[in-house]
Amino acid sequence: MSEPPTDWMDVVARLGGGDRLAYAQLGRLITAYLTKLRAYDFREEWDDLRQEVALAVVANVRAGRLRDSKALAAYVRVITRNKFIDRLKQHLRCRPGERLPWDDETARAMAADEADPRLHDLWRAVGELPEEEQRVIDEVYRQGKTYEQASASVGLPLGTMKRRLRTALMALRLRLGGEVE
Amino acid sequence: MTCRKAFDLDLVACLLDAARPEWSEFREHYPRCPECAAEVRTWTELQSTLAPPHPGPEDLIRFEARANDMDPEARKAVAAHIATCRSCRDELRALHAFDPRTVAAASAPVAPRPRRWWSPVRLVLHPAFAYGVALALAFPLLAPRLRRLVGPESGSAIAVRSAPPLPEHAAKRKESADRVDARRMMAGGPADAALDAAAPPPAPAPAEPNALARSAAPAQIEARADRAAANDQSPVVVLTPDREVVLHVPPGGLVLRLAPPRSQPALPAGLAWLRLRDAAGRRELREQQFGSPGSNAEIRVPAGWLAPGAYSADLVVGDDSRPLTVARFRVEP
Repeated sequence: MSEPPTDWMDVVARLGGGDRLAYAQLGRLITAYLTKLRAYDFREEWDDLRQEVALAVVANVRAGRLRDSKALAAYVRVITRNKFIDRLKQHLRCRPGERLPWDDETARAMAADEADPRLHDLWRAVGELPEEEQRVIDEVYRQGKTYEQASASVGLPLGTMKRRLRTALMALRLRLGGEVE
Repeated sequence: MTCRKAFDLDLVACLLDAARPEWSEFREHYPRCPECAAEVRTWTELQSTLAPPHPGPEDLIRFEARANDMDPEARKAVAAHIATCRSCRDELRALHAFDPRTVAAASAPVAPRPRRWWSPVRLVLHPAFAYGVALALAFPLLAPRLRRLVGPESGSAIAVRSAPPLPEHAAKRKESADRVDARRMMAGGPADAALDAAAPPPAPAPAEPNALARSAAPAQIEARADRAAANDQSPVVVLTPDREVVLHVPPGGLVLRLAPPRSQPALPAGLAWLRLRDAAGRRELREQQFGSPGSNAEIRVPAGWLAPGAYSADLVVGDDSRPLTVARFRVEP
């Protein structure tokens, strides 16, 4: 059973009252976008960006510029991406107005707000991998174990376990490559 | 032109931890390269589809604020996830720094800009300015008369006197105190244990050091309670690995501070715990530490928790097996 959609207007109203849970919920939305943008490649933490986005959202809701939950989520998506791209361009010392290929890729990634339906079949594809590769994928991804824990659990040296994981991911990527784009 | 960089390197390893220094070249490259950017996006989607679900916001809040109340298994699961998930570490850090007042201020009506009382025009038009000018012009005429009225002795009485020189030992103490205060400010917080040991006794304050901690034996060196924490008056006691401290716990509880080892001056953000345990290992209290270079780990301890007896305080990262540093202390009635 899928969870009911989040009422973001309610979340922001609670956040305005200082509710920590609301802050955590809005923070989760922002960090999900930051992950899609691969923002963590460039900085371990994005406290300032997250806070800027959260404050902009609260201010816009209070000013009556954002009135429904869907628009609010879309606004968070757009503003997070814009602010991140601005910082990235600054970091890469881009010329004013320069457009990066990563601009287009992030736009595609963010547009696919609902996960790509072709990716839904990924776990089925995992089931078709050799058993030892399935096990490694399961340990690392489904169970969320660290490499060290996974290698101990499957009884393989760390290097062997990593190689197996890589082979499995490459196989999945090839499968995806035939379907995506 | 087709770039092959994304295919020639170990992209799996790179994208799992692209923030590492060895991937810096590719990290700077892929946003500018159409082929590599597309490949990175595909891999990112693949990995995010496979990735395990994150702990819910409620769990993160409990973990951040009341980890001690969590079921040990649930706490362990969240800690294990956070150890490998950068975005959750980021969320946790943000929660830790959350200040409701900032949000309240986000939409507060903008106050009208105060007029600058010192703007040049306003200053010139102010009556005090006119009086000042008049007095300055009249001073050469009035000065001789004033001198006659007050006489030479009175003149010396209104001269500014320099402060009498401090005795030598007092001057040294003042200089030392100034130096310590400056170093505390530069460190962004209270000084570490070594600094405290070198400093002269602080002025009487709510956290009077010797009232809380003292030597237990010649081999055990006396610890000093630091000044009261800035936001409340709970005294701070500094623990160090090489000394056993004896404490007398004030009714309001106290803050225990443990400096990270010199080999690891920066606590890993969001992963470290300061853990207190009684000698029998039956009772445990822990608090998550958000490290920054040079910061100390602190835990607030209610008086009721510190029954007389022996305790250990240690700093652990991730699992509990390898504490970074351990200090011991004893509570006396």
